[in-house]
Amino acid sequence: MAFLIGLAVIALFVYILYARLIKLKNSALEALSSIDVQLKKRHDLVPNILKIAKKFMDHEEGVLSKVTQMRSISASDYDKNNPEEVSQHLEANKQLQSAMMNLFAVAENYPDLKSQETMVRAQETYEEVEGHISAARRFYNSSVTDLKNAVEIFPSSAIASMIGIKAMPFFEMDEAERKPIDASDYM
Amino acid sequence: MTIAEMREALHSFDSSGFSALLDDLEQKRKDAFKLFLGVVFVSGFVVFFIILTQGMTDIVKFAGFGAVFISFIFYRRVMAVRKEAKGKLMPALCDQIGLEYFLNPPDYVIREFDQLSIIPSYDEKTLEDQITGKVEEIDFELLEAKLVKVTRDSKGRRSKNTVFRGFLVKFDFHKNFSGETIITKDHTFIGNFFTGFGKNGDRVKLEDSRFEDEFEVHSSDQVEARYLLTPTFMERLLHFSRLPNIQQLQLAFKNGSIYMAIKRRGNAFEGGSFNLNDPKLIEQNIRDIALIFDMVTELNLTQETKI
Repeated sequence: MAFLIGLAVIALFVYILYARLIKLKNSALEALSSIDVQLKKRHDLVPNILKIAKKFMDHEEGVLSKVTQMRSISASDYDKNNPEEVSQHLEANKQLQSAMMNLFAVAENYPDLKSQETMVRAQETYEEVEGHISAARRFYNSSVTDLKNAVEIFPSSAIASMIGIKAMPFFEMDEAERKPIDASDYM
Repeated sequence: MTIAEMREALHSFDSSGFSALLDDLEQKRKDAFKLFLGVVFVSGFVVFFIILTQGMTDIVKFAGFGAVFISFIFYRRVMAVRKEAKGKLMPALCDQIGLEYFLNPPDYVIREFDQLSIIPSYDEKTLEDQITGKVEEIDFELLEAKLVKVTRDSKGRRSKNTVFRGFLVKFDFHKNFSGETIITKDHTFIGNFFTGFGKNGDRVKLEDSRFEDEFEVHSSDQVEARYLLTPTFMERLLHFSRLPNIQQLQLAFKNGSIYMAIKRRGNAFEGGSFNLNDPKLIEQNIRDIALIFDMVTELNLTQETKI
């Protein structure tokens, strides 16, 4: 009888660990989806900015084509359950953000572009979208930290390896990219 | 008007037009105060006389209550004069910088703060000194509130406990958001567990450990909560909550506005002197009004960047 009770307690303990791991994994996936929602907004906004910029920055083909190229790569499909693919997806979006930062920096040399009402509005919208991406990134990283702790700390690490749950990659920004974008710096 | 211009206009307030009025009111206050002291003396004497002649009987209790009651009525006359002075002075001070002042705000203004649970539950409330207007295009409403909880002990005796005294402020917030994010005082692990039941939304775990030590955040949208509470804004909130005058800060974001319940010491807009014609009275009121500018600048509510 005591053996059966002991077994039941162990089974319950294992189940609690299992349920917690699944919950954490789903929470990280939900956070990843919320990043994608925000990244999609940026993805949709980029062509509008490029369209306005092209009118004035015809000598900056390299800068513009880099943005186009990174936008295309960052929109590729990926498997959310595969940490490798998630990492590549997040890295591609980091590259897109870098390309956009570079575009805004170069745009400073074009006073006509800076004074364009449509460009000012587009940049304000971009700034707001970046704010949402940053917030989604913090939510995602917080969820990933919880999952990573559960996957790496015993005894839940043993259950995680048995059922194949892996830690997901962080979505980190480079120090230079962490600086807030102020429209007035560019326009 | 910029904040700097508003500050300058406020500090250059010409009080000469109020001198005669404040002198008159000071005379009225002195007369009312003398009368009050006279009443306290006479009623005290009556009670003392009864004790001497009758001893400690029930009639002493009755006379004692009567003395306190009559004294209170005469004290209210003193307070009414002070209120009259405030009712004349504060609208003029607020008008100087384009703001509106209401001595007795309507009851419904506290409803939103109630619904957001950023003020404690109460049985009685006193609302006064409502100031509304714009600071650098930011709409705001501020009022002073005193909230009292009435409790009864096992013998049915009633006691009153002030659970909140301070400002209730609502500012337009510069970001677009649709959910509800509530930031309340941290009550440690066990306290948060029990207080968390009554709150809307999920708990938001933020990365700033100092902020987490002082506040507990709940939101209907995890991403939006972080969009509002950027690391810089959390830093500003921490700094603001630690200002000497502030005992406790609780706030919420809803419908494009930030709601703040600022528990603080003392009664604002009551002047820095007992005498109504003392220049310190106006100076203190100016300092109290300038708190609005401090809130805007400390929290950088006029910033346009969305990050």
